[in-house]
Amino acid sequence: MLRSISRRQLYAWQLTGAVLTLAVLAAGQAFRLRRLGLIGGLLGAVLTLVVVPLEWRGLRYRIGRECLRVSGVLVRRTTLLPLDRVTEVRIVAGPVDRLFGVRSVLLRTPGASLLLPGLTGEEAAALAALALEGGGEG
Amino acid sequence: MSYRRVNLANALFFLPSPLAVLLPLAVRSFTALLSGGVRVWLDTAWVDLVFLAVLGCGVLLRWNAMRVAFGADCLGLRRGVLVREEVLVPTDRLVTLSGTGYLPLRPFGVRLIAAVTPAGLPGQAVWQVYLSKRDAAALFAAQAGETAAESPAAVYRPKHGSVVLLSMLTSNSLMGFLMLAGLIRETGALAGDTLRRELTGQVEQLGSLLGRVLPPAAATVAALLLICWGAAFLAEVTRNLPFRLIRHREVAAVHRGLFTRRDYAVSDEGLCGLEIRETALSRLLGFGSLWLRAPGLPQGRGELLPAVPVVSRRSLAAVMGSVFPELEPVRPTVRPGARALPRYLRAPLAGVAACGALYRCAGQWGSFWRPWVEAVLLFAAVGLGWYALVCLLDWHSAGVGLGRSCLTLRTSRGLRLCTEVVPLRRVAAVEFRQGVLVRPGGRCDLLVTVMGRAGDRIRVRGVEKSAAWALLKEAGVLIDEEL
Repeated sequence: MLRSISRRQLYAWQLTGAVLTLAVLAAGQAFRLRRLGLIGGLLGAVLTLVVVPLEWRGLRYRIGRECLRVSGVLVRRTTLLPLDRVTEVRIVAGPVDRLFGVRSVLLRTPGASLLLPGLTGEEAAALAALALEGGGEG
Repeated sequence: MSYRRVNLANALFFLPSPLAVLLPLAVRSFTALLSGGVRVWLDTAWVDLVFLAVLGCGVLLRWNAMRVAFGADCLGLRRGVLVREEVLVPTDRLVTLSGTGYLPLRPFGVRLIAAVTPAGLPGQAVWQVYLSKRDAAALFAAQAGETAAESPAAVYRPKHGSVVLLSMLTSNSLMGFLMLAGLIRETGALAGDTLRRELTGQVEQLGSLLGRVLPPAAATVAALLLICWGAAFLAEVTRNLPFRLIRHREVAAVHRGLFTRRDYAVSDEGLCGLEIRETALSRLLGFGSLWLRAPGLPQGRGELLPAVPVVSRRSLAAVMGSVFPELEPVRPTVRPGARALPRYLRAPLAGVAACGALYRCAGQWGSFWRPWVEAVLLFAAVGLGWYALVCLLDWHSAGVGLGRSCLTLRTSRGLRLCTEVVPLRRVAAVEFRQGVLVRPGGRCDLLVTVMGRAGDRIRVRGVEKSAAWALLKEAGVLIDEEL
């Protein structure tokens, strides 16, 4: 059963997108590139309001002995990472992520890595512990 | 696993290139003090001081947010003020743990510890922190899998003479040139141009001394090379002495360095192989050195670390038998035949042809360039003769052999003869490369890709393809019949 990532991650991405869009509009005004700023702002708005929610909806994961991640809307990518090969776990949280209480977990094996955003603090810690144990195999 | 605060030395990670920031400020302050006293300095330097204070606050904030944890199962690191990051590394999947005790930090009792996993880029540590000497020792002991009551499986302390020989082999003039150039430039800036002129004058004097036996242009080049090599040699001696190799149950540890102490612990699982290195001269005299290959070993040396400095072939076999019994080299069974000799001599012959062409051209360029081209060609002729000797020795000894759980590949790299011992579990791919000229004879170049060596392949030239295929099939590397 595939699980979707936290809805709070969607809000975090949208907030970041909105801030960046406003920054582009403001920069366009400040540097007298109003038309370029408007195009950038429009693009930012489409990304924030359409593409980001679709990406969020398309992102699913499952954690067992392997970590499975399905992502993408037009092109669907399925990534499988065996937890018993994980050599490094990184839990990352930027200021906006922390505002919404979400974390991103990066799992790395020799030759591959997998980023799983939108986990709560407890979920991230549990996944890290599982990966360090080698997917429950010990 | 409990996190704890780190010592102040870790603030060094957050300093934005200390020399680039602090040195210009120090020079400016010094100049202002000399020219106008404290008042003028205070008038001009307050901007610098504010800048430094802001920088210092940023560094302290980031240092304050850093936490470290090292348990038996996992190494942890938390850092970041705005973007917080937690790095967790399982200790049983570590490849290399290295500890470096820099001379300026030695009074504070701290060492830089770096952990590398097979997932990291070569030479890139995923976990890097300054720890106290006691914590570092405890971490190394834990990695070696030993308690205080246990003693290591084997300890090897080479004689100083063999370490000096190793330093002679690893020194190169370019390294010395870079070091000396920097030193002389700094001398000029700090101690005045008189001393710099005296230093450069010494080089010219040595050049004129050599000029009695060599053409003047060649003598200048030779003097420069000699001095640079001498400087590099001294640096290498202090880098290697005193030297100690310790074999624990599942880890090989190397400790070395006079001023900067360097410790490395390489796990058996992460070891990409051993390499016995020889030059043409040391091959003829019967000497060799042993090197370890693993991700995370010193950068700039192809992820290599000397494990046994230059010793006689017999001593080397004895040390390898006691320290690395599972990776014992065997005599090659698949070897290049007499018809493969042109394949080996191709490169030096091409060099001779290029030198001849250059000499012909030099005649047309005029008298100004002639002595310089002759000097270069003189060195090139000596180099090519040496290279041809290396190629001949390589052809005489090259080949592939199959041991208990490892492959032995004897080959050469540039002017170096090497015997590579690769664990079979580390062989990632093999390639048989046949040119149009060698295909009818059934010979090929065998290229072996080894996991963890960042794309670097071992090439054995001119071996019988069918024999090499059969050997690799016996080793379990290949499954199919020969195509």
